[in-house]
Amino acid sequence: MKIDLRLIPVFSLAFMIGYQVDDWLNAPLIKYYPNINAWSWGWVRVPAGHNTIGWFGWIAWGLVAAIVVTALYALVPRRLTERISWSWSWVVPVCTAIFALYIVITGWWLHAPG
Amino acid sequence: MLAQATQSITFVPDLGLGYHVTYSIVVIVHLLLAITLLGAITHQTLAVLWPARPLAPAGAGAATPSLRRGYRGVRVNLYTNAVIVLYLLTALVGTFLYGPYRLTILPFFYGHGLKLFGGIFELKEHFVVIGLALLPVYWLLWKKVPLTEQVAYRAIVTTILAAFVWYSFLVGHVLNNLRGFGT
Repeated sequence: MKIDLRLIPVFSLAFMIGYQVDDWLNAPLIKYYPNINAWSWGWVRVPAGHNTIGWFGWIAWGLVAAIVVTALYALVPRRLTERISWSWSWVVPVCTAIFALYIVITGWWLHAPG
Repeated sequence: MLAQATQSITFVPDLGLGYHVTYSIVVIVHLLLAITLLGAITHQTLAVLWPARPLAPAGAGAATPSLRRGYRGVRVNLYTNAVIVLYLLTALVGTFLYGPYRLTILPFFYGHGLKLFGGIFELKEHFVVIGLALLPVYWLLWKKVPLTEQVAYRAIVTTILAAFVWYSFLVGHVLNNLRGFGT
């Protein structure tokens, strides 16, 4: 199988952005409940006070976003994408990490109980 | 079944010795993988940020390269696949630890006014996923782009990945000291 190398940066950036946006929206595709070892779809409502892990669901949405965006990018003619330089794209993981810090500060340290 | 999930956020269940022994072993495996990954990515990052100049041809009286020069002069592009495999393995083992962490360690932090550390760990899980997403670009730059091209881009991506690995390692270490499995 030959990998189209021009798609790789698109997949990576879409994955990290999709993940972080979904974390911000707190809309995981799936949830895990470690105290009862059970899974549910993300939209299932559970009683307050539960111990819920959304991390796997955020990763899942990140992967879905990456696959969709990469598939759409693959449809763009090569002559239009050949001139795009990705050497600036290191800014995206840095910005995503800063945004993650913002989410943690506002979600955990300022507003979480405890 | 989900109704049973209702618990106080400070509730720490009393689990058996077998649970703690099992997860202590998994934590040690996670640690060993993380140390190996840390060594590889740190070596690669230092060598790409601070490359050694080529040695003069060996001849009579040629000086033996110093340890520092030898460390920086290694062909670190050979580390790339090892870094990727170690990253994936370390993250996979960490995934198995995440549920037990949320079950027995995070509630302890809440119950003892240590929610700061819950947030610090939360940041680790985000950095791990951003690093995971960065791995294909990292592979592309080291394996498919000639080493004389995209030098700065490759150095920055490698440094970012190393920063995520270092942060994750240190946070895991500190949190395990605060409240490890079986303590």
